[in-house]
Amino acid sequence: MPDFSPTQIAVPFFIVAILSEMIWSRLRSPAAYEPKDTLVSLAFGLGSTVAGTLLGGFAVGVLVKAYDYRLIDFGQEWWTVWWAWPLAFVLDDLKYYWLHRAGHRIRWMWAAHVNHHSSQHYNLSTALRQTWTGAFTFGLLFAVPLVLLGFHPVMLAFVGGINLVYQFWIHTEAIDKMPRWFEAIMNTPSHHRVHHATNPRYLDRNYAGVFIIWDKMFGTFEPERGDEKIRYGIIKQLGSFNLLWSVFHEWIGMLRDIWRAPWRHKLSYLLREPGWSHDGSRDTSDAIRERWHQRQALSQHHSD
Amino acid sequence: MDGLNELLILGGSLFAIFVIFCIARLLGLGRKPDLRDADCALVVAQEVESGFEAKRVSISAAKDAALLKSEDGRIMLIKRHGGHFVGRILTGKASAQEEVDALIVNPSKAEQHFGSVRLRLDDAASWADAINRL
Repeated sequence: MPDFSPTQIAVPFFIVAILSEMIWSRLRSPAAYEPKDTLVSLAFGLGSTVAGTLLGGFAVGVLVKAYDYRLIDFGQEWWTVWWAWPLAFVLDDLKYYWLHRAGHRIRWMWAAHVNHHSSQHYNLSTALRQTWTGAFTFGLLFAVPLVLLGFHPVMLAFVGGINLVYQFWIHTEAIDKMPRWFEAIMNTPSHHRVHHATNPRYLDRNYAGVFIIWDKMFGTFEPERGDEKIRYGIIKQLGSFNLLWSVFHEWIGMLRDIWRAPWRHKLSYLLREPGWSHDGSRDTSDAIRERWHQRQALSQHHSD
Repeated sequence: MDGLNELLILGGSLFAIFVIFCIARLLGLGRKPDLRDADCALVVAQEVESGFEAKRVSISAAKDAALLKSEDGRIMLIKRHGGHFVGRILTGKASAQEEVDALIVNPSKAEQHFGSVRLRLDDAASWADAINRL
């Protein structure tokens, strides 16, 4: 049974890669990094590890308990079933797709995931902006079906770790496009730049972890265009390098909205998409995109 | 012992983060962008709110902040933040105060982390009036 974490082993590689990208940035694109932004990103990464250590126990307990009710038994030595590993990896990536999609489409989940998008920069340090508050969402439930299917929680933690390590290198502007066959199947820097963009065309697209095929299958794929400069971050950029505000701002905003909302709308502020408001005073990503499409059509009409 | 080890790892990680921050600074990374002209401010305004069409633009003398007013009377405040710009549409909770050489705009109490913005404008008085009447 593997008794090590892929993410922990990858930490030295992360550091070397970030330093290498900084040198690239110095030579080619000094604006790609901003020291204070990098400081916040790295602190996010460390804090997320601490939060995982302190708060992860509950999730482990639930999944271990769920494993008692598995449908398929890979046996006492489940880790020796070689084909279960790649299968677990692919299914876990499918799970990641839906978990990630929920992270963008349900405000409760977004309150935790927004951390990862809060930088206006897109570099390898951005990849380390991981949530501190995932334990306070229902993200854990997305893993339960896989456990009930028979995959041991340790196996899922391992393949999930590899998934996370894979996603590190795609947070860069230093790589333009990978070979076509690779872009067709795998998540790449190009696909993931789209995911981090706030351009209306790109909002809520490319949720993939490792395999971009899920976005193509479920209708959320958007290719990166060469003629549109990407703006990174969130719709309402924070405008602050305060670490704690960056971590908790959406939780505070959501709880404030729930508190102030009429009773019949309170749950909607928890479960509906970010930007939804009961009085229509704010914009969801769908509304922003729709208005942008209308303006595009109008400007096309005028130019014809 | 385990606890001590974990504390050492935490301390080491914090030190490594600080070292990387220092390297980023030593390499001279990060650029302070300027709002060179009205067109530049309009591009930023589109980034803050897609579709925002400004009819009036005033850029601070330091080129680090701007105020824009749309056809429908909405006012947007833009400020430099690190290597980028950020902005807010001002509401009735915003306030503007004229000082000797500057206009201080405060988006609202709830936006304390965004902070107040100091602008040096030729037409500060009319902006102050417009913001305080929102």
